[in-house]
Amino acid sequence: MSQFWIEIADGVTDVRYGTLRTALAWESSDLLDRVGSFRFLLPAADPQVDLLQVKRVARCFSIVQDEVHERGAGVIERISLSTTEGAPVVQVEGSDLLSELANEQVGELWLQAETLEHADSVTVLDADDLGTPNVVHVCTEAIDNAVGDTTTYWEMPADGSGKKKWNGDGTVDYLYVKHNKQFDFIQYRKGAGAPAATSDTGDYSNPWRVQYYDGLDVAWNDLSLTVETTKVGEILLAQDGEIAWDMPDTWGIYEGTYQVRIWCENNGGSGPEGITLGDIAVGYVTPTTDGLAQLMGRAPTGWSLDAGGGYTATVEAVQLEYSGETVFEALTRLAEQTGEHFVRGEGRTVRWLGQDERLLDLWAVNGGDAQAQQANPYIAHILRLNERQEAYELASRVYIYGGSTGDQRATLASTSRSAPAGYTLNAAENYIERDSVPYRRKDKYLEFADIVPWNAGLVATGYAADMLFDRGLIWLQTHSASNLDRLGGDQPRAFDMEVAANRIIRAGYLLRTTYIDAADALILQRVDQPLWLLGVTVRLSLTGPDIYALETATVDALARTDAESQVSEARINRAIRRRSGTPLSTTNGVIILTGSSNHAALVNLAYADAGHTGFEPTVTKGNLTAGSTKITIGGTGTGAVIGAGASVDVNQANLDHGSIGGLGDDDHTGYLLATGARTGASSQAQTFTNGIIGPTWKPAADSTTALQLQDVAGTAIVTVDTTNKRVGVNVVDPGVPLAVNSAAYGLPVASGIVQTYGALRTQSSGGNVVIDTGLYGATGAWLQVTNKADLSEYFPLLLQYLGGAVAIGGTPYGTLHINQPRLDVYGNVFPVQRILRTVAATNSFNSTSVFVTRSTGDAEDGLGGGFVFALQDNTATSDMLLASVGAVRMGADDSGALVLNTYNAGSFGERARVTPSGNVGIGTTSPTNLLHISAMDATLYSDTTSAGLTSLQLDNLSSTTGTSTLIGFRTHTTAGGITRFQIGTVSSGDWGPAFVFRQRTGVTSYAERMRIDSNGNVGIGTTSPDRLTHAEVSDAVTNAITYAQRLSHITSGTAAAGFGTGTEFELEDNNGTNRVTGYIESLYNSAATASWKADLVLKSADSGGAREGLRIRGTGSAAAIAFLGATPSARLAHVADPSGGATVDAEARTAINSILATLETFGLHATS
Amino acid sequence: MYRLVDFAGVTLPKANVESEVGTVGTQLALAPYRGGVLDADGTGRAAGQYPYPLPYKVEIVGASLATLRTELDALRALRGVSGTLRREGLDALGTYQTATARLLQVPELRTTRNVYFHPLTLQFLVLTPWYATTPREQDYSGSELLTTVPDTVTLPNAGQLPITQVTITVVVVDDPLTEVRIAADDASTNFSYVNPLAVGDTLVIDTGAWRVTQNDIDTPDYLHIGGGHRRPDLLQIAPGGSTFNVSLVGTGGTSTIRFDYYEMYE
Repeated sequence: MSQFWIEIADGVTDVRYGTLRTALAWESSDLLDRVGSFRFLLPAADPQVDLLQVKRVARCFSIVQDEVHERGAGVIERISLSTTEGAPVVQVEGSDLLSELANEQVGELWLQAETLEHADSVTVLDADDLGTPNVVHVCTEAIDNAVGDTTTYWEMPADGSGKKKWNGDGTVDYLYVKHNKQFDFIQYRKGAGAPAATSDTGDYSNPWRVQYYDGLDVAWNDLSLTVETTKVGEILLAQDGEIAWDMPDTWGIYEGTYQVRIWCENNGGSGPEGITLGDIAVGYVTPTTDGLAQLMGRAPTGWSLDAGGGYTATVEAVQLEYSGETVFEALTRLAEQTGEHFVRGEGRTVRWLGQDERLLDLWAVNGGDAQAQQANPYIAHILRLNERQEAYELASRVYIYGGSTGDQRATLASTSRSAPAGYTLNAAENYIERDSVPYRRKDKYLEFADIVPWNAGLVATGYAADMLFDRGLIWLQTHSASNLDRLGGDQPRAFDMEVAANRIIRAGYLLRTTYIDAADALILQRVDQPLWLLGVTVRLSLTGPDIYALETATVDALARTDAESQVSEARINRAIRRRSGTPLSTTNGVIILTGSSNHAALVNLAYADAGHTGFEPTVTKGNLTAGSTKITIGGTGTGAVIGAGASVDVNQANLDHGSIGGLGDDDHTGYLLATGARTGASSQAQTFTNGIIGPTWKPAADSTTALQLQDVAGTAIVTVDTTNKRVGVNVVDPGVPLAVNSAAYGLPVASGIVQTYGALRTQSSGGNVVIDTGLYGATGAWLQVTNKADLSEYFPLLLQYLGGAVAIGGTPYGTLHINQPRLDVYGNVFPVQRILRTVAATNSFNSTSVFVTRSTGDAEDGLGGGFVFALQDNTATSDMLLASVGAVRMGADDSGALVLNTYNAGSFGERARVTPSGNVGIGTTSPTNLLHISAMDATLYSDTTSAGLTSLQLDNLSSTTGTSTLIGFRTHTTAGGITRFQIGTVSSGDWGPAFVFRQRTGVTSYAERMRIDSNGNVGIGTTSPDRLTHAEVSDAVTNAITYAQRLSHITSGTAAAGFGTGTEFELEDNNGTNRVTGYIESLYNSAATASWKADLVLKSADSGGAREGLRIRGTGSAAAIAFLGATPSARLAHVADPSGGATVDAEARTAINSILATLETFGLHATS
Repeated sequence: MYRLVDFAGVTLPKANVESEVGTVGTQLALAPYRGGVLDADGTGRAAGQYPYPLPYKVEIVGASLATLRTELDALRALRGVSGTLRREGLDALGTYQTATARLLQVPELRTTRNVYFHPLTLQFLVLTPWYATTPREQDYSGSELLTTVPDTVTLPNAGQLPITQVTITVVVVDDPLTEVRIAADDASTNFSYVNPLAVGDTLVIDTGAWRVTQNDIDTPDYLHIGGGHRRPDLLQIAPGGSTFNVSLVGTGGTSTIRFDYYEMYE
């Protein structure tokens, strides 16, 4: 749904009267190079309807994509009343604002530029410069062209006074002015400091004369002056001014210059003292690109060029004459001439689009979902598309004429243009024709009355001819076609479309269009190309999307239909004007012979008589069709010749072959320009200006017959050995069916278009790609695929595109076979080489290449090969070997090892290997384990330096304290988890890492079992050992012993009493000698398995040896203990309690002795 | 046969005494298919013509005049409304399809037999085909990755109507692409997107809207129609399915392509 409103304004003052907001619909057309129209409907009940008046201006605005846009504007021309659904509705119609440009005329107007050229390109002579000139005194001094200059002027040195006397000596002096373009006026500026010309007292009763040099009959002829303002009194060139004249019809070119001379024949007395030249400037007319501004200068008030949206000058320069066209007609004519376009811009502006092909960022399609496409600002949905069936009239040849000036008419005769590919220009017969059309020739006569040469000079007629050609070619291109297939071919096509779009669409753009209407294999309509928007009619309504009716075409200008063309040509026809007094010349002669007998009409034609350079019996009509008719030159008379440069044309385009008789002699028929002796094979040669064609003899030892094409010097270019059916190009004795010789050799040329060293080229008319071959010297040849128009551009070379093998040196072993010595692949872009294999698999190994070492003998272990890596640098350009990766036989022919080799100072060595079974060996060729690192290193280990071999090193280079480098062990897997153990280091700063033993205790739980900390303390069960060994038990036990350490001793023999183990203590004495100073021992007192018992012994040592201090023996239900080396006793019998009777002393004594005896068994000496 | 479930969010009445399709039928308002996989014996079929009128008999039963009136007013409020009409197949209960329809008429006919029982024939105008409620996603990634250029993909269509609205999504995974081309064997469908696609880029082609975006930026200039293309739409999946040659042209790699579309029924 559109929201739009219409503003009504005054047609003259543009004062806005009001806004109509209830309009039911708006429709306006925006046409390319044409005036559009508009129409809208308004409920008659709208009180604003009073705003509507004829000749007022209506402008429609709407909001599109959040911006207000003018959708159309025009002048109201008709207001009518109708009824819609029972309600009265006002219908308002009119033309687009552009129609205002058709209200005013341009009058008489030449679109052209007048160019003045001053002394730097004008030559002033004091003698003529013709034919065999007199001594030429070219003015070598600078002629100042500055206005008001007072210091520099040029004098013709003639006498002592320093002034050139024109006629003082009674002879005729001339002032010559010449230029390389035809000019029709001179602007003269008198030099400063010159004497007053009026002081001259000479007799100038003879007229001053301004003459031009006629290069045709080599004479000076008077010019008919139209303006002369340099005279003072009788004296020409006495003051600043201008001399202008009618351009003579016969002013020819003499040595590329046009000259006039100014002189006066004195009748006596003293002549003028001289003239001083401040400046001589000549003027002439040229086509201009400023015509657009000139036309708009005559447009109605308020109109201007839209400089922001378009151009202010035409791309092509034109020279056109207008005679009363309206401004709009003149603009359309200008657009037609230049191949450019215009539309109305915003308001009263003309937007000149030039020759731009501006692609609208919108794509019109007929498929898909129209509703979904409404939300896509880049798509317009085609609701309807009809191809115009009468879009153009077909013509393959156009005869083109311009306007007439009475005695002459613009034609193609002197055009400097040449026909583009596919077209033929026949300037003499004044037509352009399209070649190879699929229909019989169709002619069309065209007249462009606005193309008129401004004078009869060669330059003016040349310009007119060029413009005729341009416009005629455009016409022909849009009216002819070389392909007329059912879907249009390349003929111009025009379509009327209706699209829905959520965008502003303007004429003048190219709209990308894809419209396909097909039923099964039959394509009813197919358009897939950008189309020119020649007309855009927008229809705004209160409901539904904006609908555009588009007038589109494959060309930027639709050809007129027959009827339109005739109307147009009648309209532009105008009165024939005479622009000069030259009488009509008779250019066509007609000779009518009557009677029944044959007549000779052209007889006794004199050659080069009275200024004629020859006789040209050109017959353009009235063909000689009867078999007996002929043109006879010579006959029985004498002196008739066909001279050099003359030609005889026999046009037999539509008949059987014609012939030129009389060219044979007594033993040759149809033998042209025979030269040389008439005997032998070589005498049959035909000599032409550019070379010789003829037979030759015995070009090679095995040949007896041949034909040759030779240059004028007789050097063979092409030799056809007809004996052996061989052809040689620059080869006289071809040894093969086609031999080509290039004298020059060298590498392919990498720029330009000349393949200097190429000998043979294969090319196609379908493009510029060529394949050249050649030799680059005595040692090689080359093959290069390139662009023949730009040898710096290269293309791929496809070898065996469809399959088959390629071999270099030998017969192919595989698809690509390269024989000795090797395949080198050079490049400077990564990757230099890529081998790619595409597979469907996603998770399996897919080999890409196979490298084979092929032995002629029976393979043994060690046979293999692989990749070798090497380098070259600026000092070493040969391969410096670095390393290699490969495989060797190991164990069997179908078993191999992967080996890594390196070069060390040029010495080759295997460094690592993966065996067939999967063992990896480093430093060994026979690894016995999954990873086997072997070395032979005699370096002694040091406990305080790094000396010693390190075979395996694991790094974690993080600087974070507490990070680790671990080796993990997995020993068993079950459904519940994986048992793991890890050992390694944990960093504790720069130095002294801890070494840890960590154990996995659960799915996610780990426990460190042992650690050597940064101080060397060994902790078991603790991560912070306080002593060199520190075993810590950490558990939940509260009232029982959990042992932290155990020492064991087992024997291969039979344990007996005294078999034990223990711990020693060692101290360094004052002499630096370590001494074992204490022992804790556990040993059997009895090792009998059924009744074993052991002693725990504490010993301390002195210089004399170990001293047992305490021995505890497990025996029975309790331990026995002994000191100082005594034997532990069994627990003693109970000492009887004293009874306390009369024997109490004896009882006490006995008990004490018993205690003492017992103490003695513990080693306590109780007796003296 | 199917029943209409709701329209524009309003649940439609269910009762229909005129149909005799067993116990289920007595509880449901029924309408014939125009032809379809759920029930192929639809009558009055006019395949492919839209819009088409759809009369639908229902009975409004209310415990009181007030409730009957309320339900009737809710239906009357929908007159002229264009909305989503949903249907459920009797042979496939729980399977729904939706179409855009306009409710043209709710008759005012009253019966004097029973003021609590009000038979109606709703007049719908069905504007679009019936769409499956869940899209079909043909995703060629992972184990389905396209590995050759071109590779063949078959897009199934269990619906009854050709599908032209397909959203094609190409994601460039690890090597850039230079062109994405989709063509039929006979080239009757032949279009391509020719513009460098870098790793990580996403190309979306909405064939219904003819909208092409590369990383969410409209890039219609790079969509090209091939010479033999002879469809007004970019692509069509015929009933039963269609096969296309998909070319993900680049230096290799594992770019993915996905086709999303809704199957359509009459």
